[in-house]
Amino acid sequence: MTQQVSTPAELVSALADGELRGEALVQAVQWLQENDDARANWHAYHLVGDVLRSGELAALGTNDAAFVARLRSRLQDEVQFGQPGSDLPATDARTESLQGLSQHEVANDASFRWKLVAGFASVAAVVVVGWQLVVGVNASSGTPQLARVEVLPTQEQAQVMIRDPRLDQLLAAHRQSGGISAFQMPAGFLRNATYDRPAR
Amino acid sequence: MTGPTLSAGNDSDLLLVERTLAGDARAFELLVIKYQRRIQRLIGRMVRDVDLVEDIAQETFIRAYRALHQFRGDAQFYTWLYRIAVNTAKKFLLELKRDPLVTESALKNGDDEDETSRSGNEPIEEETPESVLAAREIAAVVNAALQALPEDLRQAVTLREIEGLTYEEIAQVMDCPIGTVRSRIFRAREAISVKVKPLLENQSGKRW
Amino acid sequence: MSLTFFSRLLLAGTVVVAAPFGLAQAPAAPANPVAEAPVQGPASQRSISEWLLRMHEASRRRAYRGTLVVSSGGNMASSRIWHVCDGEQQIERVESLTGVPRSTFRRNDQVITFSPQTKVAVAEQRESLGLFPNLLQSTDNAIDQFYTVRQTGSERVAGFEADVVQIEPRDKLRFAYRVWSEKKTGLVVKLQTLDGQGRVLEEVAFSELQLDAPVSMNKLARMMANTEGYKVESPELSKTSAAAEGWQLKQPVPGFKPMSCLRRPAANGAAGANSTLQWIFSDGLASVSLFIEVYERRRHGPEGLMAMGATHTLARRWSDKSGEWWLTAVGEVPAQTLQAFVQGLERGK
Repeated sequence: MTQQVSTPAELVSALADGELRGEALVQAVQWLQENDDARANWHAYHLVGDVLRSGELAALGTNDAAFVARLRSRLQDEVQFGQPGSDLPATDARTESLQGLSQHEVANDASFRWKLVAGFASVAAVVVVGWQLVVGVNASSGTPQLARVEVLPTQEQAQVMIRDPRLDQLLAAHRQSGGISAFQMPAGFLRNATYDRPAR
Repeated sequence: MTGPTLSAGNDSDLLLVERTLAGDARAFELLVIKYQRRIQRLIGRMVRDVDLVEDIAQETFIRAYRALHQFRGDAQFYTWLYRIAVNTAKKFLLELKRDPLVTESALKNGDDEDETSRSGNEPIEEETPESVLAAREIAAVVNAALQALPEDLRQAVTLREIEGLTYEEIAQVMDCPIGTVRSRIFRAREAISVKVKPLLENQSGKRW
Repeated sequence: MSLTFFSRLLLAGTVVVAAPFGLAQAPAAPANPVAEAPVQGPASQRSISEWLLRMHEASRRRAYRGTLVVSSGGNMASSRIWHVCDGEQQIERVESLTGVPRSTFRRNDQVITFSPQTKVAVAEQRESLGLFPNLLQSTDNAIDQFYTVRQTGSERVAGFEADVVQIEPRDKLRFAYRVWSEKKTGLVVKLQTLDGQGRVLEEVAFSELQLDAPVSMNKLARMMANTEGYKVESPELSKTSAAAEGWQLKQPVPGFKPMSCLRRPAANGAAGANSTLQWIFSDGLASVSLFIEVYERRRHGPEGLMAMGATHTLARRWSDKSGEWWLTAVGEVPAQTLQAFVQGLERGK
């Protein structure tokens, strides 16, 4: 498949249609985030599409920038992702999509979901081997206690699942270079090839 | 490849979600820019007051942002966002004890696709005269610009935006390479955007 | 039972031995691929190394194809497997049946993974795959020191009778394993990783298996070599040593020996040349990678312990007078083992 040479603006257009993959996809998103004009195009293309489909959406198009600006300042008050302390999301925004996670979901996600076992805002205390953190899934429970408890959460505790693409990449690196085990052949290797996703 | 999709494929939405989770709040803004109008229109069907519509829409995106950890990448982002919008609107209404514009039974039909409803140029009720005029002007400019396009550009962008075909499907319909489809859609968008952007900038003066 | 005799055979560079262990016998010549595993001591008396070697050998000597199912942390994935060997060479093909489509090929320790959706093929040389069975020697029989083995019975898996072997850790720093080893050949047909409570953290099993299947090595080799239409990538890794990088463990974690140390390009497209150091340890059955990066507030956080199936991850900031670092410890080990690694880390003077 020959690579198409395109201007960044054309990539934004293709991205809006969900027609980019792999490297081009990542580049287009990168471009969008670094470039004001590109974002203006992103807005304009989507507005045009919305208006073509239904004229009434035009009514809202005039206010879009103000809406985003207002949201932006509110988002800054939110706990930022990727920062210490942001590990436990608020639970009041549970949506219907969370109901009844089945025991065995097909792992067809492009990225893994990790179970958050214990998050702690700062690891100030030195934890001696043999002592383990009590699982503190609820953020309001205060500072983690040190106790001699099995770390794995019991079934009764709520399971907080997170996605972390950076972690997935490290996992891929661990499997690639670090999976040194007598079980590698064949079970370990086959298991990784079956279950793992190629890191982005 | 599945059938026609009007919203963009999962990949770009998912990538933007992942980047948001990795700490890039601007990636989330891109999703907001993409879906804000549809979400506001959805809420506008449930709620009469225009200011309230915007408040609820803001709240919807905040809640989505907070719950982003919980988004399961195997469903479409917009579907997930849609549900948050409906729930948020319902909560607001219960709290404020206002009567929704539509009845309960209409709310239950919440999974009809926005994109398929072609309601023409009806403005949302309770709009100020100025914004109604502005909306009509934008719609008029967009449609005029569309009609003014060369035939191949007009056909390509129509098949994409209104019929919801993928590039591959459009390539088959128009009997041309996919690269040409991409280029035509892009040029069509550029031609229309050029005429629309001045109208948008006048309104708020905000920069992206 | 001592393995020194066996170890010397390995050092002498003979073909991997499938003969009885620790006995004064010459190594058996490599049999033709369809032979059964050579006669060994009765199952109930095998040592852990004997079991492991038998399992390892089984896959080197047979051709098979089947469907593999992996259950990990509440998720499932499955794939179609083809495996064939020919003297020293073995080729494997794994086609994912769930999730993102992908084809993985392995020839000895060369691995290439094709992603049809992105048209990218990642080619790697995985040295870790070639380490066994020298592993038994290099870890000074750590496996025997830290694990016990006993056969607990027999069960049928995918239509084959298998010995069920329980491998228990002697301490709390590692997990237990239950292995179903096909009776005649020793091939692992099912493998479970268990925590201290005996709960299954992860399971890998054939749901369907055809031993001695007519798999064509030529066909697989051709498929593996066919990269047309794909962009082939090879990750840039450079070997280094922890000492050269200025790191050491003030206290080794019992059983875990350092295996290698690599420098990797920056993860997730981070700006600048902030590469990641990966320091790898193994106790012979479980492995741990310590990832060390220069701390960047924008990229790093939150700290915490995460789990997915048997794999645990501990991420935290680490600082001393040399600077601020971000550590991520990843391994198929309990959380406390990761903590032991992280706490034992020290920056050299």
